[in-house]
Amino acid sequence: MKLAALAIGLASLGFAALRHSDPAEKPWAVILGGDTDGYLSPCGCTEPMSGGVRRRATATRQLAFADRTVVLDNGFFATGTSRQDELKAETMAQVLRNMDATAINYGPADARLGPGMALSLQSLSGNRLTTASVGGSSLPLQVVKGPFLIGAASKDADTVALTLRGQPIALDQAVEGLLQAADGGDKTPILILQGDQNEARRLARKFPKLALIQYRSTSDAPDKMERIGTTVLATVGEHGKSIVRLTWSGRAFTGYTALRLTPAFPDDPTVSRVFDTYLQRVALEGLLDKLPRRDGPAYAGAASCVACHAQAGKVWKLSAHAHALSTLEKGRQSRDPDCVGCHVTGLSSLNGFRSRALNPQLAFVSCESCHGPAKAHARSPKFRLPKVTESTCVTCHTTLNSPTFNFAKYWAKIRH
Amino acid sequence: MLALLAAAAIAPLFGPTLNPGVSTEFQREVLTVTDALQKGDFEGARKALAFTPTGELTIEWDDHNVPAADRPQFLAARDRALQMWANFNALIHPKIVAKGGVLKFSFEKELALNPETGIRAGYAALFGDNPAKPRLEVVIGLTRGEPAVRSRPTEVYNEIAHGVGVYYGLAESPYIGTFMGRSDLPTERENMMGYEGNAAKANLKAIDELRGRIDKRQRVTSARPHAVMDPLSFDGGDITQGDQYAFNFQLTNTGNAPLTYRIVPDCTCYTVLPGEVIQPGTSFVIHARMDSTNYSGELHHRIAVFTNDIDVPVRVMPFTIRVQPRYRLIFDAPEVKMVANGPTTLTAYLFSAADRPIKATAARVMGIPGTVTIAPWKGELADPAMKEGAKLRQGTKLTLTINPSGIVGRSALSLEVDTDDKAFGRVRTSQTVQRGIAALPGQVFFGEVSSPYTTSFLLSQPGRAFQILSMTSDSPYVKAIGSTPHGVGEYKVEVKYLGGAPVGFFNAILTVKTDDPNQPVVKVPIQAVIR
Repeated sequence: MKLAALAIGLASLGFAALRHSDPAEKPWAVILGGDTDGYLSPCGCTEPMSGGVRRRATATRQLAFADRTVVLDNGFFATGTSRQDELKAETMAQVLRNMDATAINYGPADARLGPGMALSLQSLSGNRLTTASVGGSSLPLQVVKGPFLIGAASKDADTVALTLRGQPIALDQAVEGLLQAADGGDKTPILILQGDQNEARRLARKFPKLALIQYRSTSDAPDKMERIGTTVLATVGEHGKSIVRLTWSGRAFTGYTALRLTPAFPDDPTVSRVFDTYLQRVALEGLLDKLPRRDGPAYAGAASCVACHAQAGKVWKLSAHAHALSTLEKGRQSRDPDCVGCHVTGLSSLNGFRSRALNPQLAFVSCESCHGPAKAHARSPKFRLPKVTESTCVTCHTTLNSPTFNFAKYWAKIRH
Repeated sequence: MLALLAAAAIAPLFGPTLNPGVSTEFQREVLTVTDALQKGDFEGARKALAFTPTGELTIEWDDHNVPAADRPQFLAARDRALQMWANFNALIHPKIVAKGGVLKFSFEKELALNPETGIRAGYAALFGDNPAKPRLEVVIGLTRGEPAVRSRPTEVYNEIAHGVGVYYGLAESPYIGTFMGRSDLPTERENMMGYEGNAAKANLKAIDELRGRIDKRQRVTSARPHAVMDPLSFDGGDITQGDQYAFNFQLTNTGNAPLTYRIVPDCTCYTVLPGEVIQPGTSFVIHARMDSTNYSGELHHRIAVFTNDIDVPVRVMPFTIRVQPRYRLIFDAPEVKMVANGPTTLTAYLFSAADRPIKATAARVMGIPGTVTIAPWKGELADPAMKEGAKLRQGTKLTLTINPSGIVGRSALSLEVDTDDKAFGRVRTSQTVQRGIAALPGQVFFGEVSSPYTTSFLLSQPGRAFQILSMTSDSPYVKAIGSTPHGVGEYKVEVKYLGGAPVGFFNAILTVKTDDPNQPVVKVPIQAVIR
């Protein structure tokens, strides 16, 4: 049997005790993140959740090369334009400032939050927003750091230009501008693209001088970097679940690390504080109380149900459903509209959950979460409640929130 | 029957079928044994078998490079990791020995940078071929990561747990957080035992099987399964959101022994039905299913197939699907609809592809008092969000009558529509409405501040000019320092935090006086977190 280097590969490592080469030749780290899509906390509600800005900050600091680091973010702070989306975007801007982001792609999704939010985000991020898609705006067309010139662009320049009150620049023209500026300044051009892999590949073929294109993807960050010619294509995937680090040797991108932000990464204390502020702002603004609610039948409360359905009540009390709101309370997210709907009973109803103090009998996922409001049934069992099927479960146990959900397995836990 | 018996009599006896997730190194070791058995070289097979892992896990522990203060904690971490292995696999009996161990752990002050990642390695492993020496030596770095930091007991635990897995022939896992999914970065958590316990047990059983063949002097044919995947990539074309989209791909075993595999999707949006062992010369169609209810747009994903094919243990099949939205519910209004006093009418439309009609059965307005009427509709309409110009569409027209008297500045209106579609029985959209002058954003937020800091916001009434007469703050810590016109009916206002406010949440109100007779005073809330 011959010697075989496994795992890390001792042959390539030169075994132990190899040290840094000349400090002058130290590489640069280019750390990619973004496409948070509003997922400030880890994506999903069940272990093992991935992503979240607190872990991302830890991982980014761990991957950084002291003063030779470029942190890029592809924007897409939130997916909508609600007040909560605004709060998320403002939180992301602060988080990125905290992570010392070099450039943030101000793209169409963030532009839809409006011109007022553009001012706020630019201020909170420490003026890190950039776009090469709009001329004559207050945002820089490019950002320089170390050997790099960074441009951020999108196909939908019109939306960004409308918000920034500037002139839209077509994508290819924006890239040409970036390359010209890079040539003139003897810099290595990097493009942060609000576009998919196909668009990135097209640009890589058309503009081979681009050193790196960061693109958007609905998949995970690939295990390896993709190259077209000398252009590296990379993505962090969706919902901010991963970050990617590339190392720049001075001539080319060499090292590639895609890190899924699993629970192995502890929360960064500073960003945790910023995230806590976000939760407090959500609570202080009473966003949960402002949720639109519709009229509907009255709820009976869990105690009424259990009074007759004792056996079912016993099963329920032992289930995670009975403690669903407590789980959020422990994570200080019990007033977060993103979460509460699936942790209480009847949040969308005028007769449903408002708060634990007001509705202690609805402050969990109870019988009526699945079977529906049951006050009429409690008064007279002749009022039958609808039959519950898997389709009821998946309103909360979506593939995103509950990735391991399996009806047969989960039903076995609460069979009653 | 005779034919069957005859076939059974001449059917070759194969070496053990290994599970997916087995390391290439272990597969090679097994093949070395079975190659010898195939030739009838039973002594050679027995010698080769000596290099395979055994349940008697004798371990040499060399911590002379470890600072004395760290040694007790590292020892405790080692014992916890070994105990975890023993707990989950009764076939494994770890024992620390001074010499003659099959596995050795030692420490170095610093390992090299991992050339793949550029990160300082925290671990390195080397298989040896000298029977007098440990079969596997694992070197743990006393520093790790980039910039390098000291390795702590948590990382020592993880590296030992991983090293034992490597010894038992398990492959690296891409999932950090399990025993075989290690990281060179500092970690805060002791990794969890995943599939590793059973996988190691299966490998030990495979070795037992080989030992039995040698003892019985049975010839076997070396098992060389070979996986061929078809297609190598996949374009699912267009589907409609909400559809359960099924797609298949085929794995063919062109090798001479059973092919085992494990499929790992990269997204929870699709599931792959578990398959079965694929016999040589046969194929198996793997069924994947995607629930597109929560997705729209172009989706790119990858299916990873782990097999026991030594040549290509992992294959990745990329696929693309374009999910067309099942319905569109849009307002026929600008992004921000300016409203005046008194009832205001808004129009929204629900429509879908002509061949998949969707009908509204009821609708309601939420967030702002109002009513909705619904009526069948056919007409030309643009859909700017989908980059579609005006074209003939068919569906439901929703006419909203709202009473905006309660609105101050900007507010969001939600429209909820019940439909006749099973998967999309209740759909929603929203519309921003504005009455009078609004601050944008609605609250000026400084973020965390500890010293003087300036930010800005817009005071806006699109298309309707007004003048700012004065701006005063109710707090001595905040001051409006100027305003500049930013278009018709819009000003950019600069606000400064002057410093000195008490630590904690800070709230203030900026009062802006205007010449607009309908809105002579605009109150702008300001918030900061003072540190």
